[in-house]
Amino acid sequence: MQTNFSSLLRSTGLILACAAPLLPGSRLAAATAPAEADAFPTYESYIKVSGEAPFISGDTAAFAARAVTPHNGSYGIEDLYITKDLTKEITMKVNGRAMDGSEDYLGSINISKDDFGSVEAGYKRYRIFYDGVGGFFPLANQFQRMSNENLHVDRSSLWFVAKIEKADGPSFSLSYRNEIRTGRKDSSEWGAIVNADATVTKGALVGTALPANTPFIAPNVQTLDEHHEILEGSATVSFWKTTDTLKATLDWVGNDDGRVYVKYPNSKVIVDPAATIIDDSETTRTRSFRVINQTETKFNDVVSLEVGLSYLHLTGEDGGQWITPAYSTSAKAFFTTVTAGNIYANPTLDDYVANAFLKFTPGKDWRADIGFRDEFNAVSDSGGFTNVALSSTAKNTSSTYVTTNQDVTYSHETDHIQTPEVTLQYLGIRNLSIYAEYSDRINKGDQHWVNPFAAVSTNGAGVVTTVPIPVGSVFFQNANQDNEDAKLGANWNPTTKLTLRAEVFRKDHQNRFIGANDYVGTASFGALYATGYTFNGATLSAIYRPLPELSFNTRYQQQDGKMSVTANTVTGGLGYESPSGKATIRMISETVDWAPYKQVYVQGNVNVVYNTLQTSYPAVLVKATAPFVAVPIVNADNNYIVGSALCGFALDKRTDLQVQGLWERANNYNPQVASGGQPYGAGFNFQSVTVGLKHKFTDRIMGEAKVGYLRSTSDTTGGFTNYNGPLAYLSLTYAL
Amino acid sequence: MSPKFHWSKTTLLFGGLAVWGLLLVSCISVDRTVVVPPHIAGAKYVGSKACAQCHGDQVDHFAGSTHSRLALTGADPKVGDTGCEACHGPGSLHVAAGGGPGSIINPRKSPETCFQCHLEKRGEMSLPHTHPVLAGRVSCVDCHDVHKGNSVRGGGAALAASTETCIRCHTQQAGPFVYQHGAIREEGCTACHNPHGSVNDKMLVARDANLCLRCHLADLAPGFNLGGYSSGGAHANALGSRLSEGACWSAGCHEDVHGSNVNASLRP
Repeated sequence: MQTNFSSLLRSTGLILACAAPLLPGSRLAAATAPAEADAFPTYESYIKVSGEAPFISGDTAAFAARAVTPHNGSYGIEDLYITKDLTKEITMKVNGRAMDGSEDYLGSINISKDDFGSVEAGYKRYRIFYDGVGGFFPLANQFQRMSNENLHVDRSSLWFVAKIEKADGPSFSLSYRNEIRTGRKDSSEWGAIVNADATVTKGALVGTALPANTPFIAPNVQTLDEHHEILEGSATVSFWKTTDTLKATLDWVGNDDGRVYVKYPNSKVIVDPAATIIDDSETTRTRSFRVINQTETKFNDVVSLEVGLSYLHLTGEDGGQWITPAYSTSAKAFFTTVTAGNIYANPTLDDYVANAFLKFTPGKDWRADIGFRDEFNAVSDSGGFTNVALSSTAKNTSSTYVTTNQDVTYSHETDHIQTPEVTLQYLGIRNLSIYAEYSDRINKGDQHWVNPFAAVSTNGAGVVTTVPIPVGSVFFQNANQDNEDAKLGANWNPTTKLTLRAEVFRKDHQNRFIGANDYVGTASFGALYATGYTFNGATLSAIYRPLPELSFNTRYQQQDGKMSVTANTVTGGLGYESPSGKATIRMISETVDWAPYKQVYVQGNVNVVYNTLQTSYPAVLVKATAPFVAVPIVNADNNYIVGSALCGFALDKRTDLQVQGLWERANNYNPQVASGGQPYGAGFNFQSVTVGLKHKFTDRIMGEAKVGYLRSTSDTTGGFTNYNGPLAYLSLTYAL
Repeated sequence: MSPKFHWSKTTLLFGGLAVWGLLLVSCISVDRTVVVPPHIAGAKYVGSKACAQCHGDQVDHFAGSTHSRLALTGADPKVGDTGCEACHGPGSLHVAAGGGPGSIINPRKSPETCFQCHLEKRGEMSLPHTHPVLAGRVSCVDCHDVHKGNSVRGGGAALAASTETCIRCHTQQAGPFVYQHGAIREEGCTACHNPHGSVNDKMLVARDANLCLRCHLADLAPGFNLGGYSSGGAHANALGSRLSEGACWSAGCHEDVHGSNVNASLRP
């Protein structure tokens, strides 16, 4: 009897489950409803408070970097919006956010008066987290973490804007913006850092005694202290059929960045200085003034002309030092060796730009834009540094620096860039738009470098960086660039259910450098060096809506690029053009939207990407002594798959349910490369699922709760940055 | 000992039944469109003319924008295939409310509306290395001006240079440099970075020496040598070559890869 009842229940359930989507009643009832009585309200002014609590196991720093939120959670005011009519003509708008933990803050107030203008003041700040990965050595299974480093960078902006905007008069604006970027982030450096006593060196070479001071990538921490101020004023006037805008900008940059060396695993203590090595430092100060004038004249409905003029004058001061850590086999310790001290430079830039666009409709179905841009810029600089080395006899106990010589450079370069551009659009066929675009950037550059710290090879092959050239050497170079870009595309709606879009493009960029040097002590040589690439690609899109509640959106992108280099022959003249690189990209994306009922919404997305870069460099040696070991530079594969799904469901009159999932996979990890060095290619897995409820408590109060689980694994870091765990989110929105 | 959960036909059957039951109850009793971005529940299309009343500047210049190329003559604006509502959603509630943030789709708040056509950007911005757009810290319109001119600011015959979008925030890379990396002069920042997202650190289009070797060819035909990359040159050290070890731009070598004012080799 029990079996029979169970069978009956199953049969009934199956019938109901299968029939439910076919039942027309509910859809009809919903479709014919005159209004949505149960709709969630939209608030004119509101405050939303929320809190987020992750419970992450594993590498919490990697979680923070990925989720842009700290592993110990955040809470506060997620969103505040107030709009209030102070008088009949004056409106105030306030925007705010204050999330403690994620250090995400926003506060702005805007007061506007109809047909007069507005004032606005605001402050915004947010934090980016870094995972502090210093390197992973697969063959030794060693992982370097920048321990005890709370790595993050804060970006903040303070602004003030005042505008006078009258419908029948000129408009003016004055703005000031102060932007700051401070913090510490992970980076890497190249230095003579291999410790002969360390068991972790270069993967395949584990345990092999290496020459001291063999360069390799080492982790370091980059410190940022960057300030940027912009003061800008503009005026817009209209006369006859013309609108003219004049804008003047003062801009100051003051950056003090640096690097701190981080020890390798198993490395010995750093003797000098005792704890850390302050590596490179780099200071930048620039001051610039820019004035822009843009006019737009609408002669009639058929023809309009836009003309722009711009002038920029900039002066700068650079400073800093460049330090390479070194390892001493006798002291078994690291030292700093200053490579370049007292770096200084005083660049100046003058940049003149003019452009014009003639926009017209040659026929009722045609639209054409013909543009031309002309730029001339000149950069000049005098700078240099002091060559400083660590005395070899001082490596055992202390750092004694020896100044070898001072290098000075006086250089300038000019660019004269002309860019014609043509855009055409044809709309003569119903539901079809065809367009084409062509531009050609032609640059006649002239570079004049005095003491550029790089020689020109005597066989005429271009710039060589092997040895500093003698003081007094001069290098001249003409830099001629011809960069053509072209596009052809169409947007077609053959039926109301189908939209088709296609765009093909071609980039043909050629850069030719013809140089000559006056190399002190030797004869002059000419040199020719040309690089170029061509890219052909296409984007195809199809949006198909077989039913009003169902749509398929497909996008396919393809790019094929070839890069090449041409040098002159030993005896002069143009040499062979050699292929240097090949890029292939195939990307297909699909989004399916399905709303069988207005109470249900389902969306699925997937991106499949094949992206590889191949260069012609055949192989490198990773072991210098017999037996020699050669490892090819493998292709740079950047393939991945991303899939996501979203389902929204009106659970009852006051509650929505939303389920969301994300899945990512990159499988480019190649430990074979470990014998040559790192990195090894990106390989990772990421999955997350979130279930959320949105509930209307009253007409003025809404709440949202989400719980989720995420899991991340990384092959590239040997699993040392894996993390997983649940997280919870709660918010309350109150109508003000 | 806690019982172990197993999926079975019965579980699926009754689970499915429960879901459809909820669906039936919901459909019969609830008169509301589920709130899923980027839709405005209950709103109807009103056409772009209604938008021009308050957003005249955006409407006036839209005809010359990249996105306007997709606009079709003869298309019914009421279905939202073209014009403002193609991206901002149906505007009837927004118009009725006299504006306000909750009654219209604002791409500055959420990129969902952009993802409707730029499908691949959803995936790119989900990757580990991207600008924090999905996290809400920056938005698509911080870099793209979709109402006027070229959506990718600068470049072509526009007054602004193609790099100006990036250097507004990344001032240390702005220069000017008397020794500027040629890739920036020619193609801008996107020659090496994908600002929408990458599987690689720093949003690089490739994370090893291949990135550089695309243009800086290591070996030419026999008898040719470019910059000592082949055996015996600076890049063929005692261990064969440093090129295999990852990154030409690492600190200590071509550290100032964006440009330098003291060294033509982009070192300090």
